[in-house]
Amino acid sequence: MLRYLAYRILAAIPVLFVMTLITFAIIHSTPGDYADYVAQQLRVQGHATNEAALAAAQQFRIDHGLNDPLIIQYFRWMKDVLTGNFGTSYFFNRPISEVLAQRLPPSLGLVITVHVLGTIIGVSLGIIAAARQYSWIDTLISFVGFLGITTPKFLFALVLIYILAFKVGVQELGSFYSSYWSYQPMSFGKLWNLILHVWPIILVGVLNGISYNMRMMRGNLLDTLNAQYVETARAKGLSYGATVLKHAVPNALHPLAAYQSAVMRYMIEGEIETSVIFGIPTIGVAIVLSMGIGDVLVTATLMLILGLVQIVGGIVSDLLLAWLDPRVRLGE
Amino acid sequence: MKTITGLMAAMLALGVSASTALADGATAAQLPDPPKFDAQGKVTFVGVGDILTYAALPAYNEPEFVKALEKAGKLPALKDRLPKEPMVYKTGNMKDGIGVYGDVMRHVIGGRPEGWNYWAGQSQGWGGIDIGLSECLTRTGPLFQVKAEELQPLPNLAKGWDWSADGHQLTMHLIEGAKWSDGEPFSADDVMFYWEKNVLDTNVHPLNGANPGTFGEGTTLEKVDANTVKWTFKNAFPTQVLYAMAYGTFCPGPAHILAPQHPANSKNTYDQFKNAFPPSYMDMPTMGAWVVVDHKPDNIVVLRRNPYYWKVDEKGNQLPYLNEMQYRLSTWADRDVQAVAGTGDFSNLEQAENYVESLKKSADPAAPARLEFGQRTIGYALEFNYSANGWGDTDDRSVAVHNLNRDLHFRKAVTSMLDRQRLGESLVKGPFTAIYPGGIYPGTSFYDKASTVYYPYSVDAAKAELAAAGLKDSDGDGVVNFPKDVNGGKNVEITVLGNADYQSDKSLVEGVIAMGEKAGLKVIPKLLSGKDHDAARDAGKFDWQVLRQGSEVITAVQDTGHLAPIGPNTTYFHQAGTDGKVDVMDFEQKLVDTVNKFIGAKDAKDRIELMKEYQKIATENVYTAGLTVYPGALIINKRFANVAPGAPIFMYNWAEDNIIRERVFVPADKQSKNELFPDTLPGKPGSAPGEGLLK
Repeated sequence: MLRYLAYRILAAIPVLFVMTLITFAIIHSTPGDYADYVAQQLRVQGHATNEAALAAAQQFRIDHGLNDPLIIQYFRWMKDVLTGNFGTSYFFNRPISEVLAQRLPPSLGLVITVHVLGTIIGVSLGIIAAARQYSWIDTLISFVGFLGITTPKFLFALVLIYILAFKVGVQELGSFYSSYWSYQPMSFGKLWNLILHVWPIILVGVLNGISYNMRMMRGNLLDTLNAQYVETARAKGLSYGATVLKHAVPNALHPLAAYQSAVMRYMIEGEIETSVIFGIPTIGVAIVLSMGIGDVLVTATLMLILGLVQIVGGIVSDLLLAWLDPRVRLGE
Repeated sequence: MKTITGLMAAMLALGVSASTALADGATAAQLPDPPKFDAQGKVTFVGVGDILTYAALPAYNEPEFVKALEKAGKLPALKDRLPKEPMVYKTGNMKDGIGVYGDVMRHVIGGRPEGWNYWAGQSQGWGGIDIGLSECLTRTGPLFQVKAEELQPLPNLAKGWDWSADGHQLTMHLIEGAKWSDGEPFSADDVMFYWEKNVLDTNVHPLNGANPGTFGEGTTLEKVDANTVKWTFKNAFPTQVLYAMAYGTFCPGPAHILAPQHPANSKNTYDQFKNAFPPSYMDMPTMGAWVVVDHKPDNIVVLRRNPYYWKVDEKGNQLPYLNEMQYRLSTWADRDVQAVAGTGDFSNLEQAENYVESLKKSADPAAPARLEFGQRTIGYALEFNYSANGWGDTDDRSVAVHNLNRDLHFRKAVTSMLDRQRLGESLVKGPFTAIYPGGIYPGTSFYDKASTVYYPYSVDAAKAELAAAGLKDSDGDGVVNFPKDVNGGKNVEITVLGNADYQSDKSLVEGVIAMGEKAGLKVIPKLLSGKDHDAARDAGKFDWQVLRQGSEVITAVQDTGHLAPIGPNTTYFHQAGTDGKVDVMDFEQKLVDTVNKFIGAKDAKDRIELMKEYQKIATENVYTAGLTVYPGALIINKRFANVAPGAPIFMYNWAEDNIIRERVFVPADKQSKNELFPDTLPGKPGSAPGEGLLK
């Protein structure tokens, strides 16, 4: 196991290195840079003249080495990555490591909450639907699952925010805490305030997660329920419930465990869609923001982190699979 | 003979046909008046003297908690904190009269503070933070309510000014005895430090681009005494520089704090000087009504009232009425949502698509916010890339289109093909939008309907003008072709640049494409986001662009250089080519001459006449093809009083300046409990976030 882990971690290093190269190149392939954003802000917000805005943009490029060849900019960033601070964000005017340290924990908290709830509820519903195939419960659950998969998360989020802000008059929008609670130490009151702010994002994410997990579990379980060993267990006199839970479900979980390697990425993508719409300061919002304004080092760093998360997800998924299925041997 | 007769007949027919086509071309018509609607606030126009004056009052007043701090010996007496003659806002100009102290205004913004050294180029996150912190020599925001005949910037730190007889010198009298928020005196030294060590020092780049040229080439400034400075200009009576002395190009910083960090007085590099006041540096001295006392990165910026603020109401109440300002650090899109929901107090609603729903919501008595529509100062035009000398794309097709853009028949065809009524309705149905033919916006100070040439919507006229420009559908595919010797006689294909970040921009681009198709032009969208859009625009990589216009067509006295190519890159659509020169056309040269005369005109009447001339030349020659204009809406929480009706979200400045926030208040029975640092005042400069408060 340890050998396997060491091998996977070592194998990840060149992957990450190539990823930094590709990401950096892709980010710089579009026209424009952060200096254009500086000029735009001067024109729009400070109504500076076009000449003054262009001059300020040019000065920014000189000051921040944006006119340097791409390869030099890349190695400058890599030096920062290796020293662990990832460079300085133009927009936040802070080390990117600080931006990460501030945004990553709540983002992961959101993503993991959504993932855990989505998996538990989705798998449970999948079992119920498969065990009651073609009943009204199966139809209802499948319909909800269908809605969850086919409705884009951003659309669901938009409809939800419209209802909350324009129709219901909900006051907890656009941040993790209300201004008052952001100044208070952690307490039940503060936790409740947090829940009031994040439940719409969790709802959107969980609905989507439920759907995927439910459909996958239902399909897998139906396949497993038709297997010979299940028939044998039933023939031996085991109850239907015990057969499903003890024999069929563990075997139907294999594809779900394998799915964990990819799910983290989907979850983060989902977080991006919903957090952007709800204006919550997460990693997802930082990615979209930094890409839009050309804060390239932030984008590149966050993409790197996402790649890392994907690789870790793969390793966790493999370990989970080995734990679930004794036939799987790691590193042998 | 028969042949000759036939030839003559054919020639005659051709001649008739040609003249018929021209006769059917674009013909100017009466421009319909913009529709009226009830939600649009009515501005009460007043003189400068009706808004404010400078006077010593018999007694002054301040909030109870400030009195308590004063009693405790933590603060000098109010009379010693105020200048000799404070600025006094007239009650008659305050919609709800004298206010009461308390409460907070909660803003939501998408920017982040880079630091507090505005004078060396650091942004404070926009959204009105810097407007609130910056007090400038003059002030322009509230000018939307000033009568045209008295139109000139309001006095501010400069309480008055005199021109010399020859118009080359301007003596400015600064407010006497005013103090920075840390109690240090404000004087001409602060003004001179800003001028000498920020504007003239080419290594320093103030945020909004102030440089010596901003105030006229060769201009000098000297200190006369502690409260007087004198400008000397090359040209006589350059009255327009008074606008440049307002936000955001002449708002001096605290020299007593800045000067020791400047490379001239320290071992700092210029970069170190710029970053000497990072986002964590609190209580940066200001002349503004509020001082930054706390900053939680990515979360919030909090400002508390400035105990040394130098403005009062007629009863002697020291302003501001509001004790606190908050800025939630979120996204710009979130600002509208939070203002509508009531968790934010203020937003500038600019996307017309949201108007009807927001109006419906605000009509609900239980809704926390109301909408205040101003004048129609949001407008879009279709701008033509006129450059035929290497600015932008230089492939055969692009050059051919740019040359077409320089043909008046072609421009008349384009303006005639635009159904502006439908374009407006594509953004929002109802009486919001108005037909905009181009030039100065209808309803603004320098607009003159009689000087506006309007070519109404007519597809037939557009087709006739295209024919007159030599464009015919030679291959019968519904799209006109270039003449055979131009771009291989191919279809006329035109790229139109638009900003993909905004639905309004996208809708207008789509409208232009559909209308172009009817006239026989193939218009191809080039929708780009954010920096990509700006990079394409600044590099001239477009044939046409749908652009939301700026101050130049609203006030004419700001960003005037954008009205014509008076410099190598003053306009957004016609800039210098590789030779560094702009290939101006004859009518553009007339525009340049008119704009230059306007900039140098002293007399208000002359300026009005010159702008009429500009409007005629610009609209007659379809300098830009105007599309639509509509008002923005201020979303403001219903609890606030003294918000002037009809305050535009943007005119001379943004609404944060226009509504004069220092005299906005919340009646006692409506006050919220949202103050985060109640009963406290700013502390010493350089305190840690939230820790230096005086209490």
